[in-house]
Amino acid sequence: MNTPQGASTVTATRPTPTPLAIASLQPELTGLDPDAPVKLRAQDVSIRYGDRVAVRDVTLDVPEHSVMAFIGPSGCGKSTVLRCFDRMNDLIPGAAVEGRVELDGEDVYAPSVLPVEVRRKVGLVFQRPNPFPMSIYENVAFGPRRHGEQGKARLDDVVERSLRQAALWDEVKDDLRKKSGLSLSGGQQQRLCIARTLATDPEVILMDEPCSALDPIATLKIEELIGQLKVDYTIVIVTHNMQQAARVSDRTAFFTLGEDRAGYLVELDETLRIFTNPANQLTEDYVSGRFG
Amino acid sequence: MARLDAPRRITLGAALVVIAAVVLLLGFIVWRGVQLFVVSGVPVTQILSPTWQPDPLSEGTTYGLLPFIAGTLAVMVVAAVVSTPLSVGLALFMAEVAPTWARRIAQPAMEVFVGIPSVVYGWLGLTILVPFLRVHFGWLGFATGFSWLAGSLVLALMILPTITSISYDAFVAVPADMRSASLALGTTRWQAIRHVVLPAAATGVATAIVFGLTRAAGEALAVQMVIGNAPVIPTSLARPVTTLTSQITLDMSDATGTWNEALWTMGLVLLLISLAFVLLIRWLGRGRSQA
Repeated sequence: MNTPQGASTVTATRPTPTPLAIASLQPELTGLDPDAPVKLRAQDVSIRYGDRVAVRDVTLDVPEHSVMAFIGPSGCGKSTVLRCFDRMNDLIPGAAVEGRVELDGEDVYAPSVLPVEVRRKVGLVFQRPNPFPMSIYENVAFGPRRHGEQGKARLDDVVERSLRQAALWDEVKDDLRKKSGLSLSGGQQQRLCIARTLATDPEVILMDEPCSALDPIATLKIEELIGQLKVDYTIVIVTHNMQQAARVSDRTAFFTLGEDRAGYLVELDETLRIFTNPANQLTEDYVSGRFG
Repeated sequence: MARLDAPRRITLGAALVVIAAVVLLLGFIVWRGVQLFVVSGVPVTQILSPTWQPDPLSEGTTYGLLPFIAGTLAVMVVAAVVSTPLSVGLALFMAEVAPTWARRIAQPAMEVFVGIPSVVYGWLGLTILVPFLRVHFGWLGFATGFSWLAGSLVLALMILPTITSISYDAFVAVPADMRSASLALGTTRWQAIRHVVLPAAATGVATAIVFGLTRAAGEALAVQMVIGNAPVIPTSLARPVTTLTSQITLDMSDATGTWNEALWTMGLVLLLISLAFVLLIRWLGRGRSQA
C-alpha cells in the first residue's frame, strides 16, 4: 500500500509546472492534441434547484482521452455541472437543467434518452468511497450483472481486468470473495469504486473530489491511476486541491460564485496556463491563494 | 459508598424497582409453572401429549399442552407469512418510492394503527371476518367461520404496523450513497432496491419479522374472539384451533387445583417462547452491528 515508489513515479511523470514553463508553453510541449474530438459538451447550461439558480450559462468542451479539472470555491456549482453529464442531478427533487448537454454530439437530455443509458457510458466516482457491503468480487461484478452478464468466466475476466486497471488487483486477488469491500482501507475502497465503474465499460469517468477523504499516499495512487486511465477514457475531476488539478489534468476550468449567488465558469484553459498565466484576475487570485 | 445526589437516587431507585419487579415476576412464573410437575406429580413428558382433559370431574385427567403450543406457533407463522410481504412492501414504498406527502400520511397512519386496542381488532374480526368466511368460503370447510385462518388474518393486521415501522427504519438506515452508487452504474431504481437496499437491510427486516412474531405470540384477546378455541392439533386453516394465551384467558376463572397449575405451566411455556424470540432478536441485532 504505502510504497514510496508510487510517490516518485508521480513526480517523475507529472512535473509540477514551474515559471520556466510559461515561456515555452506550446501545444506540442503540453502534449495536448488540438484536433481531438469533443467527448462532452455543455452549451449555455444553467442548473436550478427549485427557484435558486445554482450555476448559470456554462459552456465548455471536454476533448476525448483527456483529463479536465473543475476547480473553484465551495458552492460554485462545479459538482452540479459534473453531475449533469451523467444525469445524476435528476435524482435531486426540484433540479432542472437548461441548455444543451452533449455526449459524442448527442443531447443527453433528449426525451428519447434514458438516464440509465447515459450512466452506463458515463461513470461517476463519489467523494466518499462507497463500496457496497458485499465481497470485493461482487462489488466489481455488480454493474455487469445488473446489465445482464451471467457467464462466470466472462465475469471473472471483467473483475480481474477492472481491478488491474484500477491498480488494486495485486492487493486483493487472494481474497476477492472472502473480504468485504468495506474491510479495505479508504484508498483501496476508492480504487475499488473506480474498478466497479470501469467494469461497466464506460467511455467517460466523472470524479467528484475522489481524494478528499484519503491520505496523501492513497491520493497519489489515485492520481497516478488517473494518468493511466486517460489513455482509454475521458475524465473530468472536481477537486478542491489545486496541486492535484495541476498534477493530473490537461485542462482546468475555474468556476466561482457570482454576485447573484449563482456559480459560473470564469476561465477554461490548458492547466499549465491556468496555474501560471491565467487570463482572468479572479483566476489568478484563486490559484495564487488570495481567495477563499 | 459515595453520597448520591437526588436525581441519581431517584433514577437508581426506579431502576432497582423495575429490575426487582422483573426478577420477581420471572421467579414467580417459573415457581408456579413447575408446580404441575413438582406438587401434583404430573410427568414432564405429559405436556407433550395431544390430549387436553383437565376437568377433575371427568375420568383420566391429562394435561397435554401440545395443541396450545402447536396452535400458538401455527397461528403466529401464518400471520407472519401473510403480514410480511404486505408490511415489507409498504415499508419499501414509504422509504424508497413514496413522495413526501404520501410519507407524511403513511407514518402517522401507522402510529394510529398501533394505538387501536386489540378488542377492536377482535370485534371487527368477529362481526365481519368470521361471518364473511362462513358465508363465502363455507364450501372450503369454514363451517362456522371461527378458524385458524381467521385468527391469523386478525393477527396479521395487528402485527403489520410493527413489521412495517421496524423494516422502514432498516431501509432508511441504508446510506443514500449506496443507492446513488448503484444508480451511477446505470442500474434502474428497482435494481438498486432489489440488489443493494434489500440485502443491506436484510437483518433489520428479519428483526422486524421476529418482533412481529413476538407480538403475535403474546396476543390473546383478539385471537380468542375469532379462533374458535378448540384444543386440537391444527390440521386445517378452516377449522377452529386454540393458542396458549386464549386458553389461559378462557380457563382462568374456572380452573382450580391441578388444572390451575397447568395454566401456570402454559404461562411458563409462553414465557419461554417469548424468551427464545428475544434471544433471536439480540442475535440478529449483533450480526447487524458487526456488518
